[in-house]
Amino acid sequence: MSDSEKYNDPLEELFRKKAEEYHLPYREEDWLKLEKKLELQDTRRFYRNTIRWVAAAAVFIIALLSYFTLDNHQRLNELNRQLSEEIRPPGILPQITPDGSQEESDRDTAPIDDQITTVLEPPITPPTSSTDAEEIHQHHPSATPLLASEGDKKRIHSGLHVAKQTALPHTLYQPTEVVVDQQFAQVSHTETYDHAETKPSRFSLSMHLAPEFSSISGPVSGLTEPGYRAGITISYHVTEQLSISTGIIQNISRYTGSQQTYQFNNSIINADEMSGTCRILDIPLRFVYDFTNSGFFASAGISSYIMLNEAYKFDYTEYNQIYTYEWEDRTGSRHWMSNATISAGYELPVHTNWDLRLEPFISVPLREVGRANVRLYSVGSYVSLRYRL
Amino acid sequence: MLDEIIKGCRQRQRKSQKELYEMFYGYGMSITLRYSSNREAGVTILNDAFMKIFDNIRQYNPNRPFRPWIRRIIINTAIDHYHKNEKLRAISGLNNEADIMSEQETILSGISYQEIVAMLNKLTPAYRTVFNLYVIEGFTHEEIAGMLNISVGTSKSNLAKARRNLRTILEKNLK
Repeated sequence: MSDSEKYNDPLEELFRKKAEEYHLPYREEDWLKLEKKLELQDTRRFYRNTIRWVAAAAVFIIALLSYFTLDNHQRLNELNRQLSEEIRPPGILPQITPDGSQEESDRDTAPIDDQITTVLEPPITPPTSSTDAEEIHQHHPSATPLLASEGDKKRIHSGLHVAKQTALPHTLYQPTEVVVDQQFAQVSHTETYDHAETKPSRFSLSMHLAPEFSSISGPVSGLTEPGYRAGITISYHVTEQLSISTGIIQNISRYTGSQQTYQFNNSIINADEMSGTCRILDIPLRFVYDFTNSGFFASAGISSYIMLNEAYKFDYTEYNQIYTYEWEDRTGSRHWMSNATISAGYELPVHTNWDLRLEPFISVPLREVGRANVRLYSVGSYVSLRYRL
Repeated sequence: MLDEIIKGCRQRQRKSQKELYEMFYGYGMSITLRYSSNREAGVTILNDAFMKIFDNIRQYNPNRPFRPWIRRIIINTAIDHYHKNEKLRAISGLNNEADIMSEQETILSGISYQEIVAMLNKLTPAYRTVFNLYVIEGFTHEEIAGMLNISVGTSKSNLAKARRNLRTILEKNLK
């Protein structure tokens, strides 16, 4: 019997008519069975939500503690540096010429050795006689005054203090402290945590978590329920600024679309609306560029998708009735270099070798993926914890 | 009134959930009884279907009719149960029609719809499911093949056998 004849068969017509007419009377005991299942489900949901809130609170507290730890650490570093050295303000240092006149010198172009300066205690006028030397030694026990030469006497009497120790033929006094020039005292973004003490590895490991919104109609159109991404990556620093990274990230992508945006199973079903939930394994390959000393970075890369699980719902109308057809399978299909991703973000050091990163991203399709052959767009923001090995 | 009940169900209010269950209990059971071998199995399918209805009530589009929406969920749940019990039937021989017949005679009585359900329950689960999906729900053989993971040929064959068996049962009842 053909499909067109099925509505003419009297037996089947009888079945259809009776099926539509009959309603079984309600039984309370059946509701009680359902109510027990609902209460069990509510209890599980309550515990799940509680765990999520506790986890979120823990992350917030850890982030807050990390911020205060970082702030304190920076202040301690600053205090330590101030305690252990005095920083001379930058400027042009007067030189003493052989004829006693002043000559300005450019410290920045002078050889490094010459830029090592000495800090004086209250300026000591070098002795010109042994009596003066003894007097000076009484007041400044740490100083070892030597008798000045004739040239030095002229310089002293002109009121100028010698700054360059190495310029003098004789050492006039023994300095109490030697400090490093301010040029070397300058602290960069990356030097705060003693990275110069040990040679850092070129590798780093990151853990990523991100909410995401997916669409098959365009980058930001038709966004519905959020999905999420979670995974780990490993990075290799080719240079100080440029690194390459790869890893494994699991995505849960949720999207909806009209029949123009998909092609499923040779188009057996042309639905009014399709909604999909896919669990995807993302294998990224990214280049990351760090903007020196600013904390900002940008990245671009390619992702390959392995479809772990695909679930689709199709809503369609037939014979003035609305039907929903559901399909789900662990397809395992592979789509190499299916999406391109770009991102930019900010990195905050939270501890030695640990950094916290915030990284908004957008992923655009290069080819279709999945059993529904969709072009999958995603937007979201990674929160990542990076550890330098 | 239905809008208010659906709104309450979206907020997981137990009172609204019970009202919805009472409202569509008879309609739902008239579907699940056709896919199950006895009333208890039908109640199990119906309750599982309502769990899915309450979980997905937020995805229901209020601009569309509600009855077809829950009908689809109930049918899908019935098919899920069919798949779950497939292996069990194959191992334990629950396809024995005689067992099903004797069980139905103790439960069902009276009106003609129940006789129809009784006749359907005398079919094997495979024949019964294909018959329900094709004749009463209106799916095509291609769609049925996709839902039940069988070939289109198997779907057509099962339908033909279901029709033949039903005619035999009907003739026997009329004698």
